[in-house]
Amino acid sequence: MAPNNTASTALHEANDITNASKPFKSTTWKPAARRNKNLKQVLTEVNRAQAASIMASQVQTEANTGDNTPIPESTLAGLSARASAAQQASALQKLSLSANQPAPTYGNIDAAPSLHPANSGHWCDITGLPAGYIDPKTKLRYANKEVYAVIRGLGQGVSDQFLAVRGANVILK
Amino acid sequence: MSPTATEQPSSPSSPNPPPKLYYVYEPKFPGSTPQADDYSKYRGDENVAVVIDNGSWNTRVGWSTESAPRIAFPPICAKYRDRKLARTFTLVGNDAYADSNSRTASKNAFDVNVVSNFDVMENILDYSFLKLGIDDDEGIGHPVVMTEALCNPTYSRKTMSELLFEAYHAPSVTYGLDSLFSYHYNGGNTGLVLSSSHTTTHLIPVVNGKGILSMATRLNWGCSQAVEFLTKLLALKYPGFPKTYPQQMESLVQEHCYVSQNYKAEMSGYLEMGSLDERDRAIQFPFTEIVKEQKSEEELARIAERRKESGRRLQEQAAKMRLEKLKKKEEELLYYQHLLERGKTETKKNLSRLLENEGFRDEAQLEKRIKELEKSIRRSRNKDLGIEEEEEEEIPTFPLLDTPDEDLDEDGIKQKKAQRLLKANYEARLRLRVEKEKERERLRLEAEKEEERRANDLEGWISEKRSMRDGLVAKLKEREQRKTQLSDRKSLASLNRMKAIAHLASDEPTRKRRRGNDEDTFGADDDDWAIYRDIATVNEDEEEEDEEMQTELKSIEAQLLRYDPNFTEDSLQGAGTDWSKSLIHAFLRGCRPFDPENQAEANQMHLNVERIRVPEVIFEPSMAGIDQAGIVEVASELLLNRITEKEQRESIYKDIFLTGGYALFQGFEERLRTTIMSVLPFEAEFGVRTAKDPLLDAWKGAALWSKTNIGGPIWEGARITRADFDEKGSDYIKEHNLGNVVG
Repeated sequence: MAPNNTASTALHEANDITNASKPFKSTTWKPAARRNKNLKQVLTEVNRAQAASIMASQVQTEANTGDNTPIPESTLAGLSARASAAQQASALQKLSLSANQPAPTYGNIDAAPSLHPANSGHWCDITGLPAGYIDPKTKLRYANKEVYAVIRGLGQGVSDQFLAVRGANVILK
Repeated sequence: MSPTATEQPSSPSSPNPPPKLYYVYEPKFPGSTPQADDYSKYRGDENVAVVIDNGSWNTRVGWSTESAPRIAFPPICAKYRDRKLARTFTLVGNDAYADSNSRTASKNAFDVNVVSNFDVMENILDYSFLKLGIDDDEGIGHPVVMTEALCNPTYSRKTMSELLFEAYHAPSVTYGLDSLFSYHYNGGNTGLVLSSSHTTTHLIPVVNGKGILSMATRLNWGCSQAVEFLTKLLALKYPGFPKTYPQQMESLVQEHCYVSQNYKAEMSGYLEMGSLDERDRAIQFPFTEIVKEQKSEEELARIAERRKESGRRLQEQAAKMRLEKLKKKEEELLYYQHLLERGKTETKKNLSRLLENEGFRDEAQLEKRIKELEKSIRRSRNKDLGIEEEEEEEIPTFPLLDTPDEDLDEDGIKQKKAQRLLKANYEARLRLRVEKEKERERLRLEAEKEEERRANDLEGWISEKRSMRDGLVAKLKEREQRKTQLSDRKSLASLNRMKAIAHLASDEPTRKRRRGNDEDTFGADDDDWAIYRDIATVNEDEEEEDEEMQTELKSIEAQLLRYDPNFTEDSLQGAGTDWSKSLIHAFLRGCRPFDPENQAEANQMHLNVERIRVPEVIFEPSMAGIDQAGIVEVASELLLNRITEKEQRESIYKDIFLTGGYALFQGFEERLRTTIMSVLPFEAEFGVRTAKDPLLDAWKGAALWSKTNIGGPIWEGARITRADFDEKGSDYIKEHNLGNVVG
């Protein structure tokens, strides 16, 4: 191992807070199980809960108009669990169309894609210079013939890595 | 040398001083953070809040009455177990950088800009309160003001509240937005807050001190993505480069990147050789030099002397041995001569016995032996004396050949056969010699002729040689092309090859044969066999031919180099193009020649286009594969379309406020000013400014806000008390000007 092993162990011991006395902390505190969720999990749960509540409210209003057969309460209870992803998505869409200004959530404050094609230039994938050409084989953009020679000489899969930098690579699932 | 070679002062190699090297950041431990010992000042004072700027880049913690945070550290925690000590260490913040073990074990509390790992978060809070010196029993006894992400998901806030209220017994918690606190600190009231920080970029319009969150927009680009982008670019630029660390990349982005004022124009000329030196940054990465032992001159002389000495000794030994041999031979000669003399006086019978004793058959053999000895002695003597001996070759005679077989006995016939063979050999040798002579003569004549031609008609000669050279180059190129084509499965060359293989392998008679000619005539024509040559992917013959062509090319080029004034070393085949004109060289190695043998240079990266390419992504996210509009487009959409009230809009124009780490890039404010001007209505009044301290102002703003409002109505309207938490649930929040809204 590293020669400074003892030194770093001493450092660790000096900075370790595992057993430091923390009088301010509650002695009865126990963290909930499985409280760590990554952002994706959190967002999916938020979405699902939202969609289910919207669907439930819609089902109720539809039932009241008399256009279609009312759904018994017992079915409604299980709806949130059984609602498919597609239904949830369409429910969400309806909501955003009906309400003129939906409340901002983590999911809907994302900036929209660019509407000005002029704002996205063509840059050489290798050098970053303005690119005038596209290699039909690898679909890489390049600045001049010298760069083209480099592209020709790329190994298998390397061109895909270049494409991946600007998210233009094809991902097979 | 050719005259053009002297006309190359434009080559930047000579006047350039060695490049200024930038050394890459070495990850190092900044030292442990001491625990504060002045807590007594604040103990029990409920009007002093603990302010936590809970950012994904740094967590900053301090007291609301102070002007700066007490501690700032990355939101990471390393929990790792030392097996030898049988002990688990918990190291938070900079302490996790103490050594490589803890560094690799460290985990970040954040997923993008949202707290997701609450185990780490809990350790971070423990650490923060410890370092503040808080030693109250059961609870921290101070209200907490904490920043959170824009539109922080409820789950994250709920868990955070549970942690703060249940584990630390906080009397109250206030959540706010870092960027709005920063704007508050910088005296903003109405304007557009443009906060580009570690993981995200947010745009929030503010009217009369209240953030309009319904119009808030997030761009998924920040400093961490920029670092990632640079890492990817450099990995592709220098494949096979030794390992680099994220911290190193971070320091490269911080130290060398800047925002270009006119990206397209600057980028087009970025790699121009003449001025590249100003823009190119050579980054030296650490390396261990493999030292080749340099021998001093003295040592070299000594070694040479020693070698000479041993050579001399060997020579002496050889001479001695030669002398001994010579002596022996001379003795032998003397003895045989003596024997011959004696034989003349002896009787025939005695003589034959004598000879037999010595191993000779007859006198002739003895004489032959003596002759041989004499010859060898003479030769070696001459060699010792250094006399070149002209060997007169005697023409061998074959006397038996002319005698008919009938006149010979059995032995004679045998000898005659041997002589016939010898004669044939001899004659063949002669013939060969003559032929060689002739060939030499021919070559000489040819060379002379060429010389003459060159002397008389240099231009013609040159053009002839050049066309020969070009032909060879073209041929070699064609070969090369075929090879590359064969590597591509879909090329015509490989299709043809596959066809030929299928044809050869098929047992079915081809259509042609069925038409009548039933016989398989393959091989009747010698060219038929060429098919096997064509289908071989690696052809040995061809490779040999290639080599021959290469040597021929080399010789022609050598001649051209000597006589053609327009043929310089640069035009050599395979010499590569002049590096000073190569774009790729400028891109990879800057404006100086590259020596791959040089260890230091092999461990250098050159940052040039990346310096502006990396920060530019915020203006053009599609460059990094992010399907969102750039910051200016988002801002203009917000300013021109989404904010409908004209007066409000115009007052917002006047104060466009930049904060967050991205605002530290040189030129960011200026670039935003010019580009935003181009999208705003003509002559609209507008202003762009940057926070006094884009990194710390969020904390300072939160502290200022707490200090001024604590106990007041705004404070009460924003904070969640323990009672609220118990009564209304863990996901309860209060909306206020600088905070999130209920989503």
